Amino acid sequence: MKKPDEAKYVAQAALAGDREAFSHLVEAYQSPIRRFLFHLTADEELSKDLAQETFLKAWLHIASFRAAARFSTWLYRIAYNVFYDHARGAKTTDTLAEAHENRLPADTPDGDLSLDFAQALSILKDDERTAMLLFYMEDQPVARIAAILNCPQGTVKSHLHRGREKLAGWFNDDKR
Amino acid sequence: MNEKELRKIFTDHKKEVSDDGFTRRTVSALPERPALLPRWVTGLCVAAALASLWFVFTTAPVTEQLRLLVDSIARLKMPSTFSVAVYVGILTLLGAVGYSLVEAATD
Repeated sequence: MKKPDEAKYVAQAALAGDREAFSHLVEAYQSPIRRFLFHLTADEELSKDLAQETFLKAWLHIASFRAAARFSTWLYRIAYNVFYDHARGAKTTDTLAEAHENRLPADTPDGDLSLDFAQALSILKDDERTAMLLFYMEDQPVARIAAILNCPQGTVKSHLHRGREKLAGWFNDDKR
Repeated sequence: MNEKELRKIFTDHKKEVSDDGFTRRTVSALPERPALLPRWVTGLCVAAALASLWFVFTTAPVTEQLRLLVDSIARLKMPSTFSVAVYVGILTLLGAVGYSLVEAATD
């Protein structure tokens, strides 16, 4: 979606409550948001529910979106918070890493997420997995990841460093 | 494993997720959104605007006050209370009417 179109749809959705305008935004961002949440949860149905919750929250709070930020960054931030809230709830009975691992091999979008990749992601802590996915898969720069995770850039770099080391170790050990 | 190989693993697993009705279902599930401002704020603005305009109309012609306001701004002087009241009254009224129109369009 072109930037002027995006700004127009955001303004129409925020000021006039235009659902049609908002549907253009959902259509444009459903794929990256669902992909991001799917790789965080390794559960297609759950990621669909969390993505829907993300867009519902975006709809309700779109008036608080500031044009200085990118809409995609704002949306990823909501998605991360939705995931984090869910993960916190899930941790009362299970750690998320365990939950992530237990769900493997889950149904996957288009059935093409390899078990190896999902298992490799499961060895990472939540913040490491989030930072790695945003950086390597969603092509987000460190500054924006820091805004999404609401932490300093140095912390993001640490997550990325540890994530790289863990994944490199995992793959180099010939998948354990 | 180097940076390039690591990036390739992620890139290889980066797939477009097909919509399959997700957008339609999500948009149809959107709740009614509360108004940007509570209605009492609109009411308060209208009351303030009407009070300002009443104050002005009962003391001096509005056109004269607007002329004085423009004149004092042009001369970088402090405008009179009357002309400020006209200005505030008109702006507030326009804001309240504009906001009500946006709200009506949303409803």
